[in-house]
Amino acid sequence: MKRRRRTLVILVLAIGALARSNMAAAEDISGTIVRTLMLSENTRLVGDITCQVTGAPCIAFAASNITLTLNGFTITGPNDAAAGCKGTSVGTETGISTNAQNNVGIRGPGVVQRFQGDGILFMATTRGWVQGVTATTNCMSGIRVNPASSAISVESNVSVRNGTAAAACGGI
Amino acid sequence: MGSNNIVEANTAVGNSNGIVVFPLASNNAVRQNLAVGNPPIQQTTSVPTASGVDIWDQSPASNGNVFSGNLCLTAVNASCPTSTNATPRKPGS
Repeated sequence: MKRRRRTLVILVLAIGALARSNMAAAEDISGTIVRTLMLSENTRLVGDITCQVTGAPCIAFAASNITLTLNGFTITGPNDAAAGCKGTSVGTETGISTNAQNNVGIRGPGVVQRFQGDGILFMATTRGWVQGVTATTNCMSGIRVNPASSAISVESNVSVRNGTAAAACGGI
Repeated sequence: MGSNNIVEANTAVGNSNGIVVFPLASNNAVRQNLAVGNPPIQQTTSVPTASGVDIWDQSPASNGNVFSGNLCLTAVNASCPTSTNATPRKPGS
């Protein structure tokens, strides 16, 4: 009887572990991105990313309830390192867009830099967060929460040298 | 910025503007941030018409956006408390 109960407990624990591993399914990314990378599961950087996407976000969420972990790495857009945003902003060229997905998160530490649009854009998102990220040298805001987004937490981030003199956006 | 958001314990330095709350934003909390040096001095001198500030609330007062404990030097429609009264929170603390 005791052995049967122990077997049952082990079985329940094993099923629980399997369920957890499915929930925590994750994708590792690094390298060069030439067209928008759509995230459909929890994702983390395992190396720096260079973006060559034009006219669209570099990375966009394609599912709700997932997290992008920068893991200490850097996502770099096409802007010039010395001149920053070259004076011209392109709104569609965002570093990371939440893309109308809900309950999504972006976890630092990590850097999002040199995009012609916003570094990070919460676009029509309900419930979301960005924490511990450095956004720098983006032509529009470092981190922007658009008017259609709500219940977003922007906490413990650093925003440096974003925006242009012509645009009313800036750090956050 | 939309509604019911929290902007807390961030650092914004050397941007065209530090923290901007756009006209339609409502019921947001902007607290314990450090926003100074916006716009950067290079931009101020080379583009004298630039009108950036550390914190800029573009929404009407009736929208219920709240600013508290931020450390800033320039602001429009938001308060910059004296440095002894500001309580910016160090990121991660």
